[in-house]
Amino acid sequence: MIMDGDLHGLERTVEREMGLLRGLPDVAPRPECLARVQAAVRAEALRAARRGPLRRWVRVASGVAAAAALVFGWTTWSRATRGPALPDPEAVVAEWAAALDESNYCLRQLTTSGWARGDATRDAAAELDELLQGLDDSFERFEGL
Amino acid sequence: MDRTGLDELLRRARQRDADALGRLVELYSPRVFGLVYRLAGSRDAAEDLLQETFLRVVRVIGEYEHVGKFEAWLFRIAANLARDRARKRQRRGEGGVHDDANGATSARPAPAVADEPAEALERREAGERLAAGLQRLPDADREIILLRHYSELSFREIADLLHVPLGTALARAHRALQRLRRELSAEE
Repeated sequence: MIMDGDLHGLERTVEREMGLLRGLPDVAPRPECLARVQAAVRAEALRAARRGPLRRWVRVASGVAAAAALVFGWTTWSRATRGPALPDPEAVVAEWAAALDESNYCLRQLTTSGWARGDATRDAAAELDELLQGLDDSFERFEGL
Repeated sequence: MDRTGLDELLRRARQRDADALGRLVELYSPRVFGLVYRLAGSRDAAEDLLQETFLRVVRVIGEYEHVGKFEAWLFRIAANLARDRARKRQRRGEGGVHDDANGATSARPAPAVADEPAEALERREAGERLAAGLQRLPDADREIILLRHYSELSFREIADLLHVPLGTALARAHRALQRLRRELSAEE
């Protein structure tokens, strides 16, 4: 096991050794590449600025639609079942809303960030499976309601 | 750029201000390009990665919280994209192609100039040997020393960025640098 003092010593050694890379030839993007990147970034910034309000509107609208569907589903279900062993309706609704929130968050992350969220340890395919499973579960609960 | 200037620039960039984002490209593209060029091993790939990195920045900067160093966030995006690209190439059986990363500023190593002073020629050749040696290192080892060289983050920050213990990051860097030094002395 490496102790703190050893780590400091190793860090100092490696920092000294890093001097070797000072001999690395300089590289720079070609001016035409830089111009292309600048243009692409500006265009994307404009698109993102336009998309911002639309995305917010879609989120709000989908939230309202989900709430309406939930109320409708809840009313229908409570009319149909009047047995004594009903689950706590507030808990069911809260659970479903939390699952929907989580799905929304994952979906938003997926559409805005792709997989480069800085988390190098997560497997993209597994994360996608989780997301789809989460959506499935969410719809299943909704059907149950 | 001082801390206040950068804070203000990032505040505007988070609002998708095109000028502020353009300024970030201007400020950071030389170092980001250096990193992705040495990681990807070709100028064409590096140019694509540079553009992808900054497009990703535009898309996700709204979620960036300016609490640490901006470099840590930016270089993590660049390194992740370069790693994803390398994985895809490996899956397609295209790994290990480094077409020009031992050259300097052009797509191919610059030809020797007849009247180049001996000292400059020697320095250039040593630089090319160093770049070629870097390409032969294992990807994970190369990534750490290149991140340290181009991002100017500390090894501790790089270890956090790569989600590895500091000791592992240092050990990899130490091993890579020793191997490079050995190869260079053997060639001399």
